[in-house]
Amino acid sequence: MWGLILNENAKIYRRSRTWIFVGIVLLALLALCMLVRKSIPPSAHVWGLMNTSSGLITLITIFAAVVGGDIVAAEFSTGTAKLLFMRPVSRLQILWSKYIAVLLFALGFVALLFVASWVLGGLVLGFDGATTPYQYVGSNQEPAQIPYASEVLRSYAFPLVPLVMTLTVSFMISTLFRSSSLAIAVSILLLFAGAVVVTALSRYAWDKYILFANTNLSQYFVGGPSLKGMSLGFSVVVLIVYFVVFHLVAAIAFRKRDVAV
Amino acid sequence: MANAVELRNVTKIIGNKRIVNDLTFDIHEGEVFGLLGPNGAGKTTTIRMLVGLISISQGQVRIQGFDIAQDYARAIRQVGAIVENPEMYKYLTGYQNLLQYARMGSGIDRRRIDEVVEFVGLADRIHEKVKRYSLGMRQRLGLAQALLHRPSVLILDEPTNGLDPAGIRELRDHLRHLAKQSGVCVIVSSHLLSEMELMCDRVAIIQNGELVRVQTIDQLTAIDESQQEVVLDVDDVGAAETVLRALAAEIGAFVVNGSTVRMTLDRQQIPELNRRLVEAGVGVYEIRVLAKSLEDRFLEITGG
Repeated sequence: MWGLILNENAKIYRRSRTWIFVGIVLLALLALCMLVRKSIPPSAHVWGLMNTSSGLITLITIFAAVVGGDIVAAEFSTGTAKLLFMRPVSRLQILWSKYIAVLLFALGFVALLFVASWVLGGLVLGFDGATTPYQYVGSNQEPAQIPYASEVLRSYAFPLVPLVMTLTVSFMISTLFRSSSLAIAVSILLLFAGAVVVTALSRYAWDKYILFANTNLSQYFVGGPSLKGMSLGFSVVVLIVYFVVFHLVAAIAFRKRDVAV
Repeated sequence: MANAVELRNVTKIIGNKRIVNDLTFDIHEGEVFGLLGPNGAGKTTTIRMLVGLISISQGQVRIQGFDIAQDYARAIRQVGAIVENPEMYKYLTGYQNLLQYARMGSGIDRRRIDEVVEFVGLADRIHEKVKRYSLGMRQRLGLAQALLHRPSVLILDEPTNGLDPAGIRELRDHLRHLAKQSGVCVIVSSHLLSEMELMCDRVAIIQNGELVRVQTIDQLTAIDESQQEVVLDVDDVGAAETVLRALAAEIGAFVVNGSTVRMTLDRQQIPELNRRLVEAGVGVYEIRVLAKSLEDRFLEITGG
């Protein structure tokens, strides 16, 4: 299994595409840094930059959807799936090593953004400001405040949920239909249209069971839940159910099929 | 010789069509075995079932005694294969492609990779990206990949595609070497008989998904002494025709074309015919037996 994960990593990092993605995110970070530098205090410090740069996780989500949507389908479009299947490893091991490699890529990318933001922000804006208070509206509409460093951790942690769910959707479609373009298109569309769909269907009671009503966990800490009858525990359960179903669908599709490429 | 691969009533049904129907034969260790048939005969489908890429609708395949459907991991460990084209990751180098494959098995170290690269003659170019390889080089890399884990059964689908004559000859030598020196069971498929003739010990002829017959190459190419196509070149065609008409009951119809006469004879009739012609004062320049090419015989067997 370890060898398989190494293999999948090689397929991700030996491609120039991956490094173009990394380059784009780092350039965007540089641009953000310039903007924050010109802005007025209190956010013109490294933690202010990091709070802003967490927005780039959306970009990373798109790139992770591309990698996740390609990693299974590409094996079929190039015919290399045959090589994978003619070895004494189970198809599920192949599938999961691919998923793990994509997940590591996505999380590693976020970690890279976090570290790069801190280093760049620190060098340009100074490393102070961790304890500067950050003010926001709490879950019961009350004014609240926490240290900036804590807010930064939250702003990096919450987007990990849509990140993981989007790449999982992309991965599942890639496995099910063996088409990377379909997988990438659908998963990115859902990422952006999900919130609209939830709003449009808000008069129905089952709206809260839609995946995209639950991917934003920050609603339980900032501003309060968007729909009635939802709690943090509820969302976590819904997310886990979706996650398991996506993986089941992918596993069944990957195991069953005859390989005619 | 021990059986390396056994097929028993192997059948593939897709929808309600029988793509491959009831194939039963054995393939031995140390032989080069050909799957021969026109395009669409079911050769590649059969190979896909042999390596477990597609399910077997009915019947069984055993590789070194392991059932490919029941005991996949142990059966496939014995197999190295190229199915259709040798597929590679084009953005990786040849060496990195081999590393991918090495990590999927056990007991393949860098020395083994170097050894195989040397064997297929790719040492100079192995660190170049595969997208810069010619088709012939990809075939070599494919062979290296298939041999990496020292398989006892080597399956190559249309292995000479994209190779130049020197490359084909080299491949042939490699395959014969593997079969004779290392006892590997080599299975190749092709629709080109002339290649099979030089490469294989035995062939299974497959047509419309059915096994027509299994023969040694010697049997397949042996000269059939009855009903040979014979051409006579004579000085006096008119006189020759008179002689032939008198023998019509024995030799049947003939065709005159310029100074030559063409007919179908059994081999033992030729001396007698010659004697008659000489007796009638016909000068015979040449008696030529048109040997049937392997292609003709193949078309005959498959009714093409």
